[in-house]
This record gives sequence, C-alpha cells and structure tokens, in this order.
Amino acid sequence: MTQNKFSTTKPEASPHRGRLRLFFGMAPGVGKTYTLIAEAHQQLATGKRVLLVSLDAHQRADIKKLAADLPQLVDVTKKKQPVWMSAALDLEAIKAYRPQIVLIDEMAVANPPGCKHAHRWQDIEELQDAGIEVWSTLNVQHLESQKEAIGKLTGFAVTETIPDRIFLSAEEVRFIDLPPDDLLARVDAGKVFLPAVVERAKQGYFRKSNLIALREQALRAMMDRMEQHVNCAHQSSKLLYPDPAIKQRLLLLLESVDLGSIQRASTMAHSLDVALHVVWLQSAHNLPGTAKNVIKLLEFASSLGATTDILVNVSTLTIRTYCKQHRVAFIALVSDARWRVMRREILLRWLVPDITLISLARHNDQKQNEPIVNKGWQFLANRSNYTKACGLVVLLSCLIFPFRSVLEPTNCAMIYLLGVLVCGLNFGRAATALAAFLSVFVFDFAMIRPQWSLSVADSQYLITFAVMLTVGVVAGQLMASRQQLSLASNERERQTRHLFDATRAFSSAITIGDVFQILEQALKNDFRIGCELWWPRWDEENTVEKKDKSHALLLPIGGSLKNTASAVVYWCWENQKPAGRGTATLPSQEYWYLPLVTGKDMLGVLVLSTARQPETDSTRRAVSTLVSLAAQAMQRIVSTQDVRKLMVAMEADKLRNTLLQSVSHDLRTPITLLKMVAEDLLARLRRAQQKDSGGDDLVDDAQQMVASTTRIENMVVNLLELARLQAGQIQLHMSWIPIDELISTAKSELGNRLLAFQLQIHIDSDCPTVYGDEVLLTRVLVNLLDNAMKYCPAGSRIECRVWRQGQNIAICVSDNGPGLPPGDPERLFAPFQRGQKESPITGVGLGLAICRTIMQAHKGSIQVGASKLGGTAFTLLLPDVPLEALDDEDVILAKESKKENPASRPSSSQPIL
Amino acid sequence: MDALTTPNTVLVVEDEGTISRFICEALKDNGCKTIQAKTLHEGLQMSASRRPDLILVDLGLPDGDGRDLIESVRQYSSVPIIVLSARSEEIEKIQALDAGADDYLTKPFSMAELLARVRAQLRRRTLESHVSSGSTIEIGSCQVDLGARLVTKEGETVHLTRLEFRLLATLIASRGKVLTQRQLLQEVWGPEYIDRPQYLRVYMAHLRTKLEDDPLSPKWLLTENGVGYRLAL
Repeated sequence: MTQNKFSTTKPEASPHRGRLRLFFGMAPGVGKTYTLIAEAHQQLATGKRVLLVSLDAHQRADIKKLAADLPQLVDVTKKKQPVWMSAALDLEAIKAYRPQIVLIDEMAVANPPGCKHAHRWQDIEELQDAGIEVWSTLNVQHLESQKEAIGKLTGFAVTETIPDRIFLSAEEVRFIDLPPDDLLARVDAGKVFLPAVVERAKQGYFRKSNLIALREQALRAMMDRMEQHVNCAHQSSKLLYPDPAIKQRLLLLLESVDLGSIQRASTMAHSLDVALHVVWLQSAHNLPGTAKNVIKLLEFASSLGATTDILVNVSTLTIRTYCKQHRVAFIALVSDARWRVMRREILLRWLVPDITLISLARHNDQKQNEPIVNKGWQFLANRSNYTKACGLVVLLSCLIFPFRSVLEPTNCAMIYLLGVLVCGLNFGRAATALAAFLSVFVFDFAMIRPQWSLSVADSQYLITFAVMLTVGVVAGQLMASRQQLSLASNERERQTRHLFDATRAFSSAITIGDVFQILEQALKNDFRIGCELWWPRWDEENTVEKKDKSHALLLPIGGSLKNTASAVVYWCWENQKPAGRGTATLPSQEYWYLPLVTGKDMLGVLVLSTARQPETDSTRRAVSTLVSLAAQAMQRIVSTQDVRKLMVAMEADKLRNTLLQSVSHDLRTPITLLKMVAEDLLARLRRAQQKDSGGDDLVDDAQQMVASTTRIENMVVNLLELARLQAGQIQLHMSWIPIDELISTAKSELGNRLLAFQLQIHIDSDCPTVYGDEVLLTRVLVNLLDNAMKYCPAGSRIECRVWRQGQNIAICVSDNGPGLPPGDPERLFAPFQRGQKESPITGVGLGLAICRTIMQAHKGSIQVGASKLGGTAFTLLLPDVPLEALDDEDVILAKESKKENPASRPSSSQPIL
Repeated sequence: MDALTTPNTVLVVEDEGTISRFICEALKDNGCKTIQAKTLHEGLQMSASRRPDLILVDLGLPDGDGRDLIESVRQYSSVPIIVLSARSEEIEKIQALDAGADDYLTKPFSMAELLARVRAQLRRRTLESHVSSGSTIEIGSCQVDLGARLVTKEGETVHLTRLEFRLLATLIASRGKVLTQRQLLQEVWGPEYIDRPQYLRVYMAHLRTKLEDDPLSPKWLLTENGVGYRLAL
C-alpha cells in the first residue's frame, strides 16, 4: 500500500491494467454524471465498446434519457431504489461482456453484505486489473484524507470513503467545477434534487458556506494531485529515487492517540516527498486501555499508505538506531504531555543532528470527553482490585490492633507501608494510592492517641503521616508501573517464544505434512485457532520448471474445518491475497483464508478459524508471522524436493545419452565391417565371374547379403534416430532455410532412386523460406519421399508442393500410388506401424514416427490424407516466421572496411582472394 | 588414381583392425601405398615422419580423440584429411571440419563411397597448384575468371554482386573441401555475421539460380546437410 501511494505514474502496474478516469467534483449536482455520459457517447461514436453498469437513481430524467442510449447489462435507468441500496456490480458478467470502457457512477459506495468486496472501489480495481478502462464519479468528501476535515466543516459525518491512493494514482481526473451560486441556482431550479427535498438540502449540506468550503477542499485535493505528478515526473526524469522502497522516511512517533496528527504528518510526507512511517511508542504512561485505540490508529495510518510499527518502552538511543535502520530523514513527535515531547526533542537534537525535527501543531479535538468515559470504565473493571487493597489494609489493621500497646506506632506505620508495597505489586496504581490513603487514615484513627479520633495529640505524627503517604503513593506507583510493563513485555516475550519454538520445530520438519502438523499444534495451543491446508496437485505436464498456476487442482491435505468455501480458496490462490473474515475481500465469510506465499512462489492456501471472537490485531499479526514462517519452511521442503527431482531427471538423462552414444557406436562398427566384407565379397566374386563364367548363384547370394546389410543399417540408423529424438531434449538449430535448398538436399540424399519416378516440384513465390532445423526438416522430406517411392510402382508421379496457408507454410508430398491402407490413418504415425502387417517392402515403420516427432518439436504438424493425384498426400504445416531483412551489401562491406582500415591491410581493395 | 605417375601414400588411423585391413586392401587395389596406425600417438608419429599424401582418421581412438590429430597435423601440413566416424551428430562433423578436416564420412559407409572421396581429395591436391588468381575456372557450363572478376554462362555474362562473387571465390579456393557454415560466414561476411546462417543460405540460393542448370538438383554447389557447403570438382 505504501508503495502504491507514491507511484502516480504506476511503473509497476502491468501494461494491460485498465486506466481509471475520475470525474471529480465538490458536491452532488455539479454535473459529473452528465459529463461522464456525454463523453461516453463520444467514445461510443468512435466505435469503442462502452458499458454502463450503474447510475445513481437520484439522477434527473434528462440524464436518464441520455443514458438510456448507452449499452448496459440491465437497464439501470429504470431502477427505483437509490444507488446506495443497489446490488453489487456483477463483475463476472461485466468481464464476460468484454467492454473497453465501463461507466460506474458513484465510486464511493459500500457493497451490500455478502459481496465479494466490501467496497465498490475494490470492484473497480478488479475491473482495472482485468484490463478494462473504468470511468467513475467522485465527490471530494469521499476522500479518506478529507473525511475528517469535511465532517468538521459541514457538520455532516461522511461514512463511505475511498483511499487517497486511488485518487492520486488515477490516470486521469476531470475536475468538474461550478461556482456555489450557480450550483444553488441549479438546486433551486430543481435540477439536482426533487423539489420536495430542495429546502431541506439548502438548510443543511447545501448551505452556501459549506459549498465554498467544499470547493476549496476539492481544489486543494486537485492541487495535491498535481504536485504529486510534478514530483513524479521530476523524479523519473532525474531517476533520483526510482524505487519507493528506498525512499527516505518521515518517522512519526506517537505517544498518544491522535488521528489528526497522522493526517497532518501524511500531508507533510506528501509535500516532502518521503514515505511515512508511524511508530507507536508503548510505555507505562500510555498503557492502560489504549490497546484497541492503538490498533485503530495504526490501521488508519496504513490506510493512508504509511508503514507502521510498535516499540515498547524505548529510550531515545534506541530511536537513534531505529532511525538509522529505516532511512529516516524527518521526525515528528506527538504526545499528550508537552514536557515529554520537549525532552525527547532535546535529546534527539543532540543525538541525531542530521535528522530534521518537525513540529506538528496539536489539536485537542474530541479528546476531552473520551478519557472520562474511559476512566469510569476502567474503575469498574478494576473494582475488585480496590476491594482487595482495602481488604488488605483492614486485615493488617486487625493483625496489628491486639499488639498496638506493645508495638511502637512508627513500626506499625512500617507494617502499613509494607502492605502498600504489596498492593503496588498486585493491584495496580490507583488501588495502591487508595491503600496508602486508607492506611494513613486507619493508622491515625486507631493506632495513635487519641484513639478513635482523627485529631493528633503529638504533632510529630503529622510528619509520619506525610512520609507514610508519600512513600506509599510513590513506591506503589513505581511498583505498579514496573509490574504493568513487565506484563506487557512478558506477553511479547511469550509470542516471541512461540515463534521461536515453531521456527525450531519447522526447521526439523521433513515433509509438508510435518510442517502443517507443527503449525496446527501451535495455532491450536497458543491461539485456539483451527486450520486447514489446501495444497495444489500438479498435472504431470506441469513439471518442476513450469508450474502453471491456473491449472492447479487444489485439495485439502490436512486439518478439518467444516465450512470451507473452495471458491474463496481458489480466489485466494489466484490473487495471492488474503480473503475472508477481517479482510477486504469477502469479509462476511466465516473463515480467514491466507495464501502461503514466499517471494514469488505461491505454495498453497491456509484456512483459519478462531474460537476466540473478536481476535485482536496483534493476534492476527502473530498468526500471520507464524503462517509466513510455516510457508518458508514449506518452500524449503518443496524446493528441496524439486531439486531432488531435477537431479534424478538429469542423471537419467545423462545415463540415457551415454547409453545411446555407446549403443550407437557399438552397433555402427560391426555393421560397417559387415557391409565392407559383403561388398568386398561381391566385388571379388564378380571379378572371378568375369574370368571364368559361372558362379551366378554365389554372386546372387552376395548381392542379397549386401542388400540385407543395407537394410539392417537403415533400421539401426532409424531406431537410433528415433531414440535420440524421443529422449527429449532435441536441440533445434533454428534458422531460415530456402525451400529450394531443403528439397534439393533431400533429393541428393535419395540419390539415383528418384530417377525412376516423375518428381514435380511447385513452390509458391510468397514462401521462399521456412524457419526450422535444416537437418531434421530434410530428414522429414527424405522420409516422405522415400515412403512414396517404397509404396508406389516405378514411374509413378510424386508431387511436392509448397504454399502459404494462413499463419503457416504448408509442404505437401503426394503421389498417385495405391493410396492409404484401410483403418485409422493416425496409427501410421505410431512407431513400428506399417500399412500392411507383413509386406515385402523393407523398413520397420519408423519413418513417419520420426517425422511426427520432428514436426512436433518444430511446433508444426503432419497430416495424412488422400491425394488429388489419386494416392496418398502427406501435408506438413510449419509456423511461418518471415525472414528478417538482410543487411544491405554496402552496409556489410562498409562494416568490414571500417574494421580493416585501422589494421591497414593493403589488400582491402581486393578482398576476395 | 591409376593415371597418376607416382603412387600416393595414404595413412589410415583406425583402431578397429579388420576395418583398417579392408580399407588398406581396397586402397592398394587402387594403386595407393598405405600405412596403418592403431592409436592417436602412432598416427601423429606416422604423419610427421612418413609425410602421407592423405590421412583417413577415426575420431574414436583408444588413446584420444582423432580431432587432436587433425589439429596438430594442420599446424605443419595441408595434407587432405578425411574423417571416418561412427559419430553421426552434425556437431561432431562441424567440429572435425572446423579443426581442419577436408571431408567426413559416417560409419557405416560403402567402400565405393570412400574410394570416391579419397580420389576427389587426391585430385584436389594436384589441382591446387594450378589455381591462381589469374586463371579461369570452369564450373559446369560457367567460366569464372577470378582475375577479371568475370563470370560467364554459355557465353553470356552473369552479373554477380560483390558478396556473391566473394562467396564463389571462397568456394573455388577450397574446391572439393567441405566448408562449414561458420567458415564461410567468417570468410565472406566477417565475424559479425557468424551466427546468421540465413545470409549464407540466401546467397547460396542466388548463386545456384545464376550458375546451376537446374537449381533444384545442383551439380556443383552442393549442400552438406547441417554442416556447410562444398563446390564439387
């Protein structure tokens, strides 16, 4: 959130994110919706797909009429109920319509309960993410940062707001302005409200003073936005801090709950162009009863885009270190007690002179009545402590009373002091003070003369009273504050210990199940939270390297919750964001859905339920931390497994390659020998035959031997080739090959056998080259031509035709031979398949299998069908990659001479030889 | 070969005894003297001491790679070298040719094929001395005058661009030898174009259309599939 705030130019946004155009005004009635609809009509006229999905039903008839012409999913102009009651946007239906621009009136609207998002602006963000441009309208009072100020100015509380970052980062904001007098005139004319409410409106929100103030606020908001943009443009041109993460920070140290100061600090951070970091300083002074408010405070801060933290009982020295770690350039302090601020400021000035201190003006707004209520509530909560403190004093009095004549009164006082200290340890500050007063009272009343009277005979005792009271109160206070702090730090320590224990346990886990069990135990014992883990099951095809998120099937693999909604699990999985209770997405869900994500990797989804309602923010924080630790442990396990799988695959691959190579070598050598011997034998027999005629049988046998050897040779070569191709990693040496060359090479490989056939070649002029691996594509052509020659009688026609077919280059080898055998032609492409089972024609039916493998590797295809010539036709389809333009010859020669001249080669005038 | 006055000496470096013996017998029948070597080490010694006119070398030798032999022989001699290997991958061929070999035969090969290649390489050796920058060379029905940079086909002048002519001249300079794509690109287009084989392919197609009688069945400008080109003698 912090990051987004400053990125008005949105460098990290995906290029396909839809734009946001806001029509922004000071109040209803200035003409935002009218402008929006008018401009939409212009877009419609240019042929854009515009879709109107919501319109404020308060709108007047003329706008409704204008809007009726716009395309819409349901007729929004006919709707009766006002916009704040309207049903949520049907996001899926809108996306399915595939509009270019979506018109949504009134951005700041809360969705009815049960919707996917709590607010409409979240819907709009989702549409933008889907690449759709959104146009919407907004009034100034709905800006989060303006809410309070405007509430105060106008006296009307604003309920619905949008985060400022949306306003700041919108690609375009149209400011629709109208002077207050003109607006009032329009209200009078009944153009804004129905006549019935005009008077009421004019008395209330539409008072002229209000409108002037609103206009000023709106203009100011626009100015802030402009300033942001100027800063951003300035920055991006200079590349000063291109990454918001390394921006300097304004550190706001808070010791009292003051929402206004966060607001002011945020504005200041904007104008200084630094990031805001809000830290709550927890100490004994502000401890009681603030926990809830502090969470609210920090939530407010983060809604303004600040990062937040809590520090307990820190010294100024710690703050110095903290500043250094967090790139702090400015510090602002806020506290109830002015002297505390001053003391810190003096110390900071001395310790960190290089950081600028900023003074924030204090506004004591609506604070006065709150503490009283708080204190009353506190008193009730601590009633038992007061009773106990009183009881202790009474008990002591009862114990001492019988011995009052024996004991010196001073010693009695000492015993009472002891009691006060015990109170301080156990019952809190106020009770301790009460005990101190009560002790003095009882001591005076019952222990010293005159007994049963408050009057004192010996005025010396007045000093005893004073000392007793002072020591009692001060010691009690000290004790109590120590005690409270130690309780707070104990709580933190307990959480840290849990995390530490869990981390240690995680590190020893071996399987995902182990990690989950540890997590489940930890959540159950420490937070009483039940959980369930959803884990993706990858298809076989989604191997280690390429995991396609959208194809994963998520299954619960551990834990048992009753009402998990799998749709939410998938949403969480795809968007990598938490969902469900307590989040911005689907808050009405019963459970809390947390993505298990580390860095870029999405592992699974964890579903959490709580027995303890409502959970505090600190619990959520602790649980989130625990879950992210678990995610890291799972990531470690997953990557170990992946690496192991990869290793095994690599080993297997290496083994297969070695085996192939050695088999290849070991088979080729004896076949070479066999072939040589057979040929030699044949040659010798022929020579012998020439000398003395006869021995024809022997020559025939020898010829048979040579032919068989050649057949074995072809088979082995084919088998090895197929094995090599199917072993996976075929290294394609892709380049552009002229089709003529491809065919001529294939022809020359087949040699003289082709002469027995009529080969016709026809290449269309618009496909001069194909993009592929020369050797493999030649191989395909050779196999197809060879096939044609095998199955057609000598003298048959074989045609090779090349043409462009859409995005592909088609190469067709057809013949006028006997045609396809009956049955599914697809089976021809399976290895060891032939047209006829037992056939005198040689070959084992690997040729077409090889062709298919090669074509698949080229992302092309091979099909078989009947030829127009009457026989079989094999058609290859290869994706067309147009040949990139070749450099001009002069350019090439110029490059060369440039390089040669410094070397002063004299022969550059005659570079050829 | 028989026509040549002095018998040529061929060194056969091959570890498989029987294959080596058959090759030698066939070569002897064709009037060559042969020397056999069974290891890389022996091959290196023989090629240095006996100065053969041609070397046949197997890549997979018991004590090393035949490519090392090619590289070390090329340091002092331009004797034709033909590789015989069971390794069929194009990359192996290219590496051997780049190391300096002149031709490559994949096992199993037929004896007739081998003898044809041997003959071609021996002829090339004798022709080499005749080719000089001033002479005219005949390629099929074409005459190439390297000095005047003039190409005629059946009496008519064929217009070649400067790079086309340079490509042709490079092929002529190593007639009969397989030139890898890399070698040709480096020589004709310069190092910047070494990984752009499309230039070579397109220009070669131009040359074929201009010089060959039937560009779809070239007789002179031959493609060595996946490896490079060769100008037939």
